[in-house]
Amino acid sequence: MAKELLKIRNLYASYGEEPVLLDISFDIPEGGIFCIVGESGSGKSTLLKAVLGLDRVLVTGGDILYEGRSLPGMPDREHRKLLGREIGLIPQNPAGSFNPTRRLRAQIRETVESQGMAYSEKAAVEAFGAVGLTNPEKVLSSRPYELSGGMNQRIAIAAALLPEPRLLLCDEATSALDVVTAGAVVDELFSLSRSRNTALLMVTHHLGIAKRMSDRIGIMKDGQLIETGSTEEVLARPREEYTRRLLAAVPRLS
Amino acid sequence: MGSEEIILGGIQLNKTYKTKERIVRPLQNIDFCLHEGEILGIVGESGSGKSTLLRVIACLEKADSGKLLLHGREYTGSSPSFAGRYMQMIFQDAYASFDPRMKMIDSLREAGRRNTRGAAGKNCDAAALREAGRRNTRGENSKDCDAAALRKPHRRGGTDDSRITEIVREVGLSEDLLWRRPRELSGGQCQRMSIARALCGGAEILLCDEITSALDVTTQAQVVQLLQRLRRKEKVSILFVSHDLALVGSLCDRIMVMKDGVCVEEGSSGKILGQPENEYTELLLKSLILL
Repeated sequence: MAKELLKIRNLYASYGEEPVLLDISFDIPEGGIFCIVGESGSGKSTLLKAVLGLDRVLVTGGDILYEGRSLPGMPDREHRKLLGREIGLIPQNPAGSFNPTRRLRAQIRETVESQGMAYSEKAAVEAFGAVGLTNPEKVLSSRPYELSGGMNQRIAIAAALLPEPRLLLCDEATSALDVVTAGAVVDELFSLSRSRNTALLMVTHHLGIAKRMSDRIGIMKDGQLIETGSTEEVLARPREEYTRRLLAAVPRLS
Repeated sequence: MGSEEIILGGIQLNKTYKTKERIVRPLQNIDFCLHEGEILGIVGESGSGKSTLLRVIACLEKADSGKLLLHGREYTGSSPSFAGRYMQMIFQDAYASFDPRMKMIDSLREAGRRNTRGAAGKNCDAAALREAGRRNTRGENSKDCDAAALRKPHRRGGTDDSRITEIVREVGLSEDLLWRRPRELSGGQCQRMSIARALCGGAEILLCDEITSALDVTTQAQVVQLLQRLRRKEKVSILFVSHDLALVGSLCDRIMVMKDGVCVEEGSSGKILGQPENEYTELLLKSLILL
């Protein structure tokens, strides 16, 4: 059994006055893939923000342990040091996280250096190649607005993987892509996670992606994890009525 | 499932855009037909020309060449407002398609007013003729005058508040929501409201452009059921554009697969999903992330 990397214990969190997360508990071992599935407004993204300590999400109870250290209890400086280098994020909308008019090389260099590491062109070219971008040198010299949505999404993945984080958070990383690109990106992410032993905490409303990638799955509804278990088990024999409804709503090829 | 009568058709449609660096051809010799009461799916990746096709059909853009037919009459080059009496676009971003400051009831009344103006019998045709005449003297090539020969849309739009309420119930919403503004609705509710608005406009054809991509699976399933019910009960014909082949397969009677402005394959849903002949269709099927 691999060592636990992230442990979330009875987590309660709120936005201002409004409680959003209620009694969330789950573990992710090193290199494990955990997928949280739920509808809009169920609190999925808030959970990621709580782990990242972003956006005024207030942890009101319970704990988030990264390698046994409490993230909410950590001084801000120390927490920030972990972000990027140890805990990476692939945002839903990569176009919003890059400056559209600056060349990618400068932006990637800035990101890497802000994490206290030296930028190496070779590593960047390799990272871009690993996510299936052909001609990485040319991509590094382009500006985000010149590239398609799919390419920008791959670049966001490459940028998050560059510092070789041990835990990667993905917020609907493929929902903005069309099927062919989404399928390719999902497969790349999966094989990268396996080859580098990177743990993934994924948030999605797409049960197909959860099935293809994750070891374990958590179904989230109104801020609660109503069902967790191995992906196979939950999808084949859902215990909760809500999970059955989610499964029934997915279009199938008949 | 649809009847034999062709309600909408396109023949050899072409469209070209020129940008600084290159020439884009989103439509290359596209032929299509939509039968009454049928749901036709159009599938393809981003940039395949799906949305351009819908915009050309709705007369929001002009094709470079080719013909558009409505009930067997040519309406190529008509105005968007003329096409709007028969067909309405539903967009991916429902919120953006409503005026954020207007209450729903006012948006729907506006659509209804346009419908009564459009379907008021002789007056309408006279008005259409006058409008067309004005345009011709301005040197624009408008074929709105064909309206005189066209049969009226058979659906009754949102002519008064009681009919609007009826339509809103039909799309599965509570009439209380009519007194809210777009942002006070959920994504799914707002999308149903935009379908209700199209029905208030008297449309008998819905042009749906990725209308469920921004919705959850459960909400998506509700909207899909709504479209099926509208087709069955109201004989609404639907063009359904999406990049999700599984969704299109479960909803549509026939499917057109588009790639780089070309229709690479067309056939019944069963055939496209079961025995695709084109390599690209196979790739689309293979890329699906299914349960």
